[in-house]
Amino acid sequence: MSDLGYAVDALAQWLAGSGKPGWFAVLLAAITVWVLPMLLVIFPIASLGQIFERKIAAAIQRRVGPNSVGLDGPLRFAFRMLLCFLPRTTQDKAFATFTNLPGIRQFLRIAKSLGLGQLAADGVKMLGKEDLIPAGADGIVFRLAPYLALTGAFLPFCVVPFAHHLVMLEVPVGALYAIAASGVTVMALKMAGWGSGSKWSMLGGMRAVAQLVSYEIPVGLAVAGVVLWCGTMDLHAIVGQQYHSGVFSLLGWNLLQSPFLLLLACVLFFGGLAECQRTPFDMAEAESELVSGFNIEYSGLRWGMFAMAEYTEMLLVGSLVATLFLGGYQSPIGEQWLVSLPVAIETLLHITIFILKVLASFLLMMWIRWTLPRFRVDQVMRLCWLTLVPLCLLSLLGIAVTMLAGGGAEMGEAYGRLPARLQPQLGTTGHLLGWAIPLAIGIVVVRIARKRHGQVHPALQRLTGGGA
Amino acid sequence: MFWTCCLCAISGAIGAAVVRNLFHASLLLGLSLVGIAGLYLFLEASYLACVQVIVYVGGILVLVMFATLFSSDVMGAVQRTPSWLRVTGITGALLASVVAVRLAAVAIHVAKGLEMTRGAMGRPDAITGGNGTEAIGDLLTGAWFVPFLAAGFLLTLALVAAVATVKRFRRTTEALRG
Repeated sequence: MSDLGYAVDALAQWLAGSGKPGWFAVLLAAITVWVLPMLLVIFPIASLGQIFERKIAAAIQRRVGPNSVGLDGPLRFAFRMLLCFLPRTTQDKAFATFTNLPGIRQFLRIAKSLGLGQLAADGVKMLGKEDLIPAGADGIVFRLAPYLALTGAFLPFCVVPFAHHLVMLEVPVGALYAIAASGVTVMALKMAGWGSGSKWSMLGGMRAVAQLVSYEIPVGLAVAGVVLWCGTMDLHAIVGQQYHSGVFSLLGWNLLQSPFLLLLACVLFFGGLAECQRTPFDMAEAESELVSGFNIEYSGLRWGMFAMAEYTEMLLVGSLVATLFLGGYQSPIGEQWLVSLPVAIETLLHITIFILKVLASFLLMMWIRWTLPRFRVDQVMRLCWLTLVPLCLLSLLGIAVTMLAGGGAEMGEAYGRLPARLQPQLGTTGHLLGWAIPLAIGIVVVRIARKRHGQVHPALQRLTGGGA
Repeated sequence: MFWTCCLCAISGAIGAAVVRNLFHASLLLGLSLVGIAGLYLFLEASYLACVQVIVYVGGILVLVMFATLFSSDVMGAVQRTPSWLRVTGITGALLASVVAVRLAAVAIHVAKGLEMTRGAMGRPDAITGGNGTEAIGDLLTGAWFVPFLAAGFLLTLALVAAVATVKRFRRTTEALRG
């Protein structure tokens, strides 16, 4: 065994056809398992995020959005590049033959009406821009910051399980590692803000760091709640814990186990939204007050890296929510049949399901961005410290009480190659009571508070449907 | 990998002591802390490594940076230091390099130990295997439960006290303003 993770070992052994794979097989397997998911899943979705966002924004605002740049140009360019040793007429002839293939013309028309070529055009524009470094900037810090931002966005994906047989690292401290690795972004934003040598970017950087450091606490507490429930920090073990062998395998998902876990899922989502600096928490990039924020002095590829890091972080939040609360890559229905399929088919299906779950969060984030206005600085901080952190602490307490009242842990079911683990066994009645009692207490507490004080926290008021 | 971590830790520490730009010094300190986290990984203490990064790099270093940024003349490229401070700085740097040399010696010792236990590979097994986390959890909720609780209580107390202090400070300033 090479100890590079289960997936690498298994693939290397399969490639070599023996229990003792050579270094080449191990290398090939490591690249396939570690690099390919990154390159084939995360990178394209993150770069497509831009065009996605523009189309969705347009749909929300009842516009059409990008609608006239097709893929003809990039394809013609690709043909020119590939056939650069032939005369131009031959290149054009080859391109014409290609477009006359069945289906290609229709595809190009659809691509044009969707404006898919906009991405390529934007990319070329971005690459062509002058790489400006302001006179007052601190060269090294200014140059390092975008790379560090991208690193912080990509590192946590090492522990995210993409499919049952496709996990880069199955570490016992996976959840903690994800939080620690995404903390690198804080440094990057601070360096960008300070290194630019501009007051606006400095202010933006300060806001960003204050916000990130504060929101790390509710996010960490939300993750801690799941860790408490599952009894492990290994993200893949957490996914295995959520397995339920029935037709409706979604009944095993953490989200449906307890109202407190549902609360924590919301906290994780909104905390994550704040950690990616997305609206309504994007006061670090508030263009109306700070011109643009920490990335104001960046242009061209360096700015592109920050944009890429933002979309990658959105994907990270989506995959953390999916992994911790939505059963990871598991199918909502009939998971027990899915795991027993042949490895290749099962992996493909699992990856697809995982991507769909992540994209759901991605879309929700965009929906929020194009619907809500931006919070003020103090509102962001207030939401974190006075609403999210107490909610998290309450939920942690609630989860602990639920687990105690549920009568402790029993051995759960083994899932695929993951062994059975100890997990809280509540039973059907226990589950129903676990939902009913906290909800009833919550409603009673809010009623009493309203009667006694006349008014409650505005957030609670809105939650319970009370007037302003 | 091991030597990269050592290099990060030592060069970061020396740089933080020598460099005259405060912001650069704090960044180098961060590099050093990350390097030390890497060393923890090699010692099969992945939990400690993660906590090191979260607490020291994500928490304390950010506080240090805030202090740096709120101090005067941040945007000036080089901080002017008075001569007596420079003398102490150089002494500190010398002391730090002594510590760094000691650290290097320990690192080499550890590397040798690792080579003895698992051949010449020096590969971090802690990343892929080991179960120190559950052991730590058992210890914290078992034998060390009371100290753990006391530390948590103390920290919570400090948090509440800090909020209370800020509130009183704000009240007095508001009273002064009228």
